[in-house]
Amino acid sequence: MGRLYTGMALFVKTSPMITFDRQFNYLFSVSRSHLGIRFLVSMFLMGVILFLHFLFIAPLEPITFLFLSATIFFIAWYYGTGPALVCTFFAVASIFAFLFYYKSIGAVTSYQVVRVFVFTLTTSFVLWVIQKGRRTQLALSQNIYQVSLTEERLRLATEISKVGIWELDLKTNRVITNLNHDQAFGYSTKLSSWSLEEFKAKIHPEDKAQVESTLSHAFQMGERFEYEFRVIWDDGSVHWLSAVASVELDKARAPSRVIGTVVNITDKKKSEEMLHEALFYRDEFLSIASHELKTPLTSLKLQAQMFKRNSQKNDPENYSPERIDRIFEQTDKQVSRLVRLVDDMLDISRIRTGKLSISTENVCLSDIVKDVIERHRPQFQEVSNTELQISRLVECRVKGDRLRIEQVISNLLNNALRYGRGKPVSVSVDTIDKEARIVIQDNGIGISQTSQEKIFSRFQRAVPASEVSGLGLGLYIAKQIVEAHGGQISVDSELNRGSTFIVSLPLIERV
Amino acid sequence: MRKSVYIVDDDEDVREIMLYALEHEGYLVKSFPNGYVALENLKNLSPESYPGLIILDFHMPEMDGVTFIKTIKRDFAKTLGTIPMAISTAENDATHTKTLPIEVIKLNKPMDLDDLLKVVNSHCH
Repeated sequence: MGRLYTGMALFVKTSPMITFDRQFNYLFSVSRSHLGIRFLVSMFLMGVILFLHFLFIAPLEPITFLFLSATIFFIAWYYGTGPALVCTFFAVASIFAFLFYYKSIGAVTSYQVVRVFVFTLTTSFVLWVIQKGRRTQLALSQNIYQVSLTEERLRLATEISKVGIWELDLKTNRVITNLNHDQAFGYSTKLSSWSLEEFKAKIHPEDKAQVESTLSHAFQMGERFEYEFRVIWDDGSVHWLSAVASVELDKARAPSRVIGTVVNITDKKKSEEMLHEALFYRDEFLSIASHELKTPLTSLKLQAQMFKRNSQKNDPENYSPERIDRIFEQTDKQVSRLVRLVDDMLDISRIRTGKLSISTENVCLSDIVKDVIERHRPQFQEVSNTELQISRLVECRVKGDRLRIEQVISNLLNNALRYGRGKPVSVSVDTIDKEARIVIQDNGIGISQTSQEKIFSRFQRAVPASEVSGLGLGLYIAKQIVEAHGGQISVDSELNRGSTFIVSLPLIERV
Repeated sequence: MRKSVYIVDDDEDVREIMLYALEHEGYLVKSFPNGYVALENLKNLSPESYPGLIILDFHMPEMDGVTFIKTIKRDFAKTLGTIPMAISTAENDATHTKTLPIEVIKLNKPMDLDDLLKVVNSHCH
């Protein structure tokens, strides 16, 4: 595991060094301690050794010098050259002192002096060598320490960021990974290692060719490259991954290793998809809306321009009562259309910002339904004299907004007329338990199963946009209004048989 | 001799006002609610009775304006395809009308009476 991260950090195998560094830590702590302490400790140590030396070992035999030297080298390695040098002089001084005061002045021969001099020289030389070695070791262990710090930081960073790391050995075609990597492929625990084939098997069939060609291209070029691809987990789910890979060449400039990262970007892709969908619907809505708005404007404009033109030509018929009547009838009609469209769009934006407010009064539902039906009757008559009848009307009261409830019923009646093929439409108001139910039934073209799920959504129509005019918002708004009342709206329909819309609202009382 | 004008629009109020405007100028006008019925009518015409101009709306049920034009240019290139055509579009429809042949006249919605009369005059007079 350490190998993987270190490989990422340095491209160098350092695991034996890492363990060495652990051992060295102990030494570090002593040798980094205060210089004064080191001097004291080494002096004390030297003193003990000297005492033992003079006590138990023949003071001037060669072998004892080796014993002293060993002590000094030990001190040099572990406590530093400073203390070691001091101990050297301390030892030399002790020897001469011993010779002078303990053995007698005659014992100090030139031979002894030379021996001590040689001892001092060799010790100093060896100390110098040790010092160099120690410095190098210090630098090396500091490097190792830095590396292990970096490695630790890297491991932490990848864990937090959920970045997966992988290393492919091109000689064995085996991949070493970390836990994040394996999780990106749908495993909850880390696999010991992967084969390249196992990795390829996980790739989505549609992306396999592209990934393979990207990889083999990179192997040849020895480049770094990025790519995205889908993988299929064991449970069958599909996820998007984003990978970066860097190919390493060996001395013969042949690819030897590939190191890379992999991140699960399924969430990001899903957001992108949702964004595209939202934009698509918005664009469709804008297209339909602009058409719908400009149609009544066309009528109004041509109307006005015609009148002006006739007036300029002094056409007497222009001002006839019939003409004037017709013009303003048309004007009123087109303006009403525009008002309805604008209201729909305002409703939509209010619904989106959660501001659809309904007043809650005690209203008589049956009266509302009767009123709306009478208002629509002329319209129904105009279109092949479609029959519009009330099959059942139970007097009942509900809590809600009169205008909004009218809006819902009006919308449903408009749909019944539009898609009704001229066949009879029936409306009923009834109560069941704690609910008041309005049922509007037509015998028209009906709605397919798949469309039934969609018609209450924004900008959706069961029928292609060009088939019918209007913003396709009516049922969406109706649903919002009904649900704001605490009620429900649903449809029961079959293609070519007709549709039955059911609106239920919480009942206050049956009259 | 003046040629006739065909109006193809699904909105009856628009048809009514355009009919009124053009008939008042002395043109013979025929109107249809969508491209499909207009095409059926055109198919049965002899070349002498071809209209001088066909004015189409963009969005229509059964067959919309773009489909109508494309169908005629594809299937009736030598005959009906020679009749001048104009399509009225709201701005956002530009992406769709880019695919239409250049000779198709594009009228802005809402239509201006003077523009309309100018186009009709130049093709049907």
